[in-house]
Amino acid sequence: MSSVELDHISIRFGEFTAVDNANLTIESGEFFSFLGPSGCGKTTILRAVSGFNDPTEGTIRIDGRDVRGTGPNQRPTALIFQNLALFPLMTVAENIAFGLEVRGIKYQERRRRAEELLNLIALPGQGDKLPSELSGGQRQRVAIARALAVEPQVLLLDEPLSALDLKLRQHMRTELRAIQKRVGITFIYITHDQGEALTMSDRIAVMSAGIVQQVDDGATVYNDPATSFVASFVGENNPFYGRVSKVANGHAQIDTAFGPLRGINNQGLKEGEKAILFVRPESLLLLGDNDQADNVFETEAIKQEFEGSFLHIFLKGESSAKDIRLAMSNTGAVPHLTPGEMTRVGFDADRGVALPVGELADE
Amino acid sequence: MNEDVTLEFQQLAQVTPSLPGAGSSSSSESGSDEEGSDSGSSSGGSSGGFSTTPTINFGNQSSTSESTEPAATTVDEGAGDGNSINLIIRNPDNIRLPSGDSQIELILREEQPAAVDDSSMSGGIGFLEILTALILALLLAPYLQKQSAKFFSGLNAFGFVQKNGLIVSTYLLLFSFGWIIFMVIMPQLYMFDFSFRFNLPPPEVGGPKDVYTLKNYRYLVFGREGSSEALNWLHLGVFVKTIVASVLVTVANFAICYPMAYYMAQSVAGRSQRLLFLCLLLPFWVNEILRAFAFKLIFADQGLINTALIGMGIWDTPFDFLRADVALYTGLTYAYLLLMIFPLYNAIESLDHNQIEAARDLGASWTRIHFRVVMPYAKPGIASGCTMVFMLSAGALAAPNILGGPSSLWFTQIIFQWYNTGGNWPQGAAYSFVLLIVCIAFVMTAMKIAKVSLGDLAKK
Repeated sequence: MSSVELDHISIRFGEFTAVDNANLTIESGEFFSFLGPSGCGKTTILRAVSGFNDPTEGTIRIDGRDVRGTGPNQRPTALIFQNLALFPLMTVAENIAFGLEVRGIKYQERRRRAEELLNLIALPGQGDKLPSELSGGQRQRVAIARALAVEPQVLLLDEPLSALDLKLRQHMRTELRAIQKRVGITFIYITHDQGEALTMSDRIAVMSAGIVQQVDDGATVYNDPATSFVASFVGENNPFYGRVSKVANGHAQIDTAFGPLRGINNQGLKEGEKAILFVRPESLLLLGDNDQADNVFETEAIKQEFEGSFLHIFLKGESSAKDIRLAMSNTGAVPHLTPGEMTRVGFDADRGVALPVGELADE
Repeated sequence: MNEDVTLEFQQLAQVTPSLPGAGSSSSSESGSDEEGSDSGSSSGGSSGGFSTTPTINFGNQSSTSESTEPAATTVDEGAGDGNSINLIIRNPDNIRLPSGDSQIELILREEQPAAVDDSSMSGGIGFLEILTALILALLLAPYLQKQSAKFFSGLNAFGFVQKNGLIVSTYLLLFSFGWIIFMVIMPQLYMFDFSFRFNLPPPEVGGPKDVYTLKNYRYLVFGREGSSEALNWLHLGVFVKTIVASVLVTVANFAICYPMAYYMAQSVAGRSQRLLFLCLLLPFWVNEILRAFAFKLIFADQGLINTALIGMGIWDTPFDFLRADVALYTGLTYAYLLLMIFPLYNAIESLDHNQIEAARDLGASWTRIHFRVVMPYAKPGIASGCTMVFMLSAGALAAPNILGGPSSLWFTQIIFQWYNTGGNWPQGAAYSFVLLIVCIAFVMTAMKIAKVSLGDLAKK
């Protein structure tokens, strides 16, 4: 078990900066995720930790030791590749025991360890099959077992679930988390799937364009995003553009196209600054004529979609390009909005997040 | 005895006994009208001198003999086994031999205009032979049989034709099966048939003497009948040496090409990769003979390497690279470089680089990565390249001819001598077939051991 420290690392390929001054510490035994769209530099960080490339600037420390110049075969890390990279000509057991074979461990002992790990990943007795004879989920688990066999202190996972179908992916999330709890080593997980990151991780680093935007636990990342990118990338969010007109008691009032709206101001916005107020669809409430809320505005209803447990209502936003989305759980009373009907909408000031203007994630 | 040379006495006014080329073979027989034997024994037993003509060369002889008789001299080199010719000298006209020491001049005349009726005669026989041999081959080779069965069933269903259209399917059939049958199988079968026959003069082809025999094969193993040695050590030795040397060439080629192919397939891309390919390809625009002579120049006593090494003071007398066969092996290795590199490159290129990284990440050293991950994956390509290089090395002729040292003899050179200078095609065919069969058997065994199937060779 080791902590991994990224001390102001930057990684450049020629002119291109893949990682820009990332500075964070991954605690020992933590399930830590890097979340970001493809091309944001998260895989580059992973490869730097595993030793396939060294950072251009800054220092990576594993267990407090600078690992610069140490090859991937000498680091206490094991990497699980996106496409798993199982050796197709070796049996499952040979695959799992490859790391042990490399370390000169005798056949009998290797076989025993492989069998242990096969039990751990719930594939007992499947050691003599070839990887091609296993299903996608089983191969997944073999890849995990192969990485765990060398008893790494840090396990690095590069979007290992992305090739699986939805059901299996959800199942494997739980399984991965369970395996991590069982073996207790540090997991560093790379994903562009926020669902994966939120469900499994102790902490998440959200990345965009080589920059680490926020490092926090899932709930904080979701409820209190630090940047407009995080707010728009993680989960759905309705942005209301405007200018800060008043700052008080940790809240900021922003004059938007729908009038002044208030939200939490954790990023120190000052009066007169341009800002975006983010409100989650589930934080928006349909209000009756007499209902009150911290923030109230009116807009036209466009359509509503019924999705079983949820009801999605689309309302006219400040521009026709982007609707305001409202989600309410199905409590039995399904409202019926006719398109074009003026609708009163409100939200609690604590459920809105006022953030400085910045880039938004692509939809 | 049809294996012997039959000669007839003629009385001629002026004869100059001259045999071009083979200066070592004695052309004059003195004395008797009895059988003479072992006349040209200079070439066989002594090693090293073998590269001279094994049999008497009958070329350019017609100019010297001004025959007045319509009944031509019959010359039969059927027993031309490389070592000797048995001469039978008949005297049908009862020419009186002068008593005492008298010189008899032996005139050998080429039988040349027989080519016309020869082709018409052997053509008819050839077809029957080919037909029977084809059936034989189909029975012998189950692989071939399977392929052809597929071919016929496909034709029956017209699926192939329907799928590809008449023109395309005709084209495909012509240039795949047609090519193999008419250009490869049939000539080879013809040679195969040839190898079981006596080397008869054209008029006797198809005649009562034209029967099958194993003598051409027997000769390779046991040598000339009545020879003092139990086995034909010289030829067998050359044969084994050729196989062993070809294996060495193949191994050397693999050792050189594997790192290069790996580098090109996995480590380098774009411009530098293309540049590397060009560097490999362009030298092969230079023809093989020229390349071989260039190698000879480089390795000669006064050549580049010796001059450089003597200049640097590594040694002071030139090392004879040619005699030590270094030049030959280098030349052969280089000649088939591309045939090794490309299959290797193809195989390694398709290997997912993540597998190499995964092995590395799991702690494997580079050696282990290559032996455990890359090579097993590239096995079909390795097999394909090695087979190709081995087969072509064993069958090489130009490089051994040019780069081989004075004592070095490649089996193909013996075959060439049988066909060319020896004029003994059946013997040459037999030698060729032994080489082919042994090479195939060798490759098949090697593939069996390496657990590679024939289909793998065609894999990209």
